[in-house]
Amino acid sequence: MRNAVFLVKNGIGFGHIRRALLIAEAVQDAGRLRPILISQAGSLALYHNTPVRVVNFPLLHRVPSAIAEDLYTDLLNRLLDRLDPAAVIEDTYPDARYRRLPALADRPRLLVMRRLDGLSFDQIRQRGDFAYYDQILIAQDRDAFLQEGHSGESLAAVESSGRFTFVGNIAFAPTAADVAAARTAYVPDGAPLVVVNGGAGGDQMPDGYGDRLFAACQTIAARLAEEGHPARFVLVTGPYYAGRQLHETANVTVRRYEPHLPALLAAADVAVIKPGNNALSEALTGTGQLVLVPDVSFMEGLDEHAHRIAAQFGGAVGTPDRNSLEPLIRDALTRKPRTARLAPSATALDTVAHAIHRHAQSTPEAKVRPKLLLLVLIAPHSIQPDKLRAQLPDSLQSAVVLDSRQEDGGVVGLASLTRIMRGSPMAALVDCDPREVSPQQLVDRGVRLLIETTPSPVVERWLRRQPPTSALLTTSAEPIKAVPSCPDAFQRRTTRLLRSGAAVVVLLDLGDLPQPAVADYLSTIGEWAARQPLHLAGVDAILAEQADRLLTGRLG
Amino acid sequence: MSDTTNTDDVEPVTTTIRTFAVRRDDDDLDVFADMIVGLLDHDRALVDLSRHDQRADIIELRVAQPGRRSKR
Repeated sequence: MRNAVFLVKNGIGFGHIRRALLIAEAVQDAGRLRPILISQAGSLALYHNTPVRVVNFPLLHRVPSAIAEDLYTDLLNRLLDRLDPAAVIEDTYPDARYRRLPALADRPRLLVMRRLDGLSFDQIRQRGDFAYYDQILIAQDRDAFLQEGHSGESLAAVESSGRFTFVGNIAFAPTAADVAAARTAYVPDGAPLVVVNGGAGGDQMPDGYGDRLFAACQTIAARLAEEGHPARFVLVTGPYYAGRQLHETANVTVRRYEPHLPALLAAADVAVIKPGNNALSEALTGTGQLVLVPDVSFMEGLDEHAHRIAAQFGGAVGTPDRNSLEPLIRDALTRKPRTARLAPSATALDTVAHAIHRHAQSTPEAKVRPKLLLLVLIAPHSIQPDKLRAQLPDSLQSAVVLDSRQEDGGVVGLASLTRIMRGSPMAALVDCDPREVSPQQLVDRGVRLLIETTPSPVVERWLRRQPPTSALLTTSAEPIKAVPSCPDAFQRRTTRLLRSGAAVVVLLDLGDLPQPAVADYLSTIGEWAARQPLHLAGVDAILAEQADRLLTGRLG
Repeated sequence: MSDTTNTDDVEPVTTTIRTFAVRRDDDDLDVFADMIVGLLDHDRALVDLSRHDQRADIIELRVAQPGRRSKR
């Protein structure tokens, strides 16, 4: 059985490893690949109960000598070479160290991403780090992703490059029995249960987040106990917690690590948590009131995310100190159970496992893609665009007729845009001053690609001053006038263009052809195209080419 | 009242089965890598390479004791 290697590391938290384990266990259960988790982590606590094979390295950028770092990296490479993985799966942060390993070169590689803030996503994209992956699986649904404030270029890249797939949130979903067991274990008397968790306990910044959070909650618990309040607090610090020692009291239980934390968070009447992906997902499966305490976060924008979650599901956002948290916890204890819940996606794990299996399948031979030609035909005045489209020979069925009715992948001239309201054109030809419409209006009509015959400063300013939510990508087209009885002019020009480019857009104006000559002309160029090592592409293929460039650092 | 912060046993028990000397050229990294791959033949193998001495001159190859792990 071939190996599927999961490369994952965790500095201060557990999120990446927990997600990787969920996926690896799903792959192992499928029985077609042998998952091996290669991690860089300071704690092995999460590996207590997993059936997945694990090799744990130290965090390689933190080993005390460069010689040891080099040796560990060499060892990792030799290990990967021996394991000969059929697929490699990484989590969230593309790692240059992995990219440079010879043993990983030319392997099928997938990236599973949790939510990132817009700026961080842009930075990774602009560095070209996404370009090394065959598929990028985003562990969010599309609507949640759109709320993150991503740039137009990032949205366009995600939407149109063909590399990204939204799979939905991946998190452990405790069963009702698990939740009941957690309540029985911690509050057998049915007392209100307050669960406090700051992830695995590590600090992103030296600001003592965990120390302040747990010390504040311990003090609040003591004050409630003095008042005779029945609430019971469970403080799950995480193994990386390095704050002041915490003390168990009559109404406080302290755990460094709780293997049933998902159930415990779902069982809570009040969950006081750092809203990282796992703790938040697990708390949202339950009905407890949320008190979200964002920490300084790495690429997650936790503060903004906490406010979005509180607005969507109910709850409050506080800071890790008693003055902030005490009124929020007291208020939360008076409230009824939260009704807005969020179960993890039921299909996310299956979707990811399916993608891994698909990429791991060996293909008989790699194929070089032929050159792409998007042929946009401008109908002569004597023939309506729709009629011309209906008359296209078989060899030109993939060509596009400007302003014709086409359900998918149509091209419309900006001059005709307001006149032609039917259909959803995917591309617009800049054939007039664009300022009659806004870029956003085009995007709202479904347009994703602008085709220009000459670069125009007017268009550039128009786009820059009113950036739409999803970027309008631009491509240049070569205008060619069809000459009666001379189709070889088109052939020579197209050949020259394709000699220097992998994908070309040609705008072929048939306006000078007499109507009787059109059919012969099109048949001739169609037959010629069929004999060439090129593929008549649709707008979507050219759009994907442009969007892919946004991932390689060449644009944006 | 009891202090429990550092008393929870959260880490699997692991045992050193060999070490690797980083700065000695008579320690063969290929043999070391082969040994790790051999360990992965066992179901539920947990191999830990994260422990080393203060200067990371000596790397420990540790494995979890089988009895400590059970399928959930």
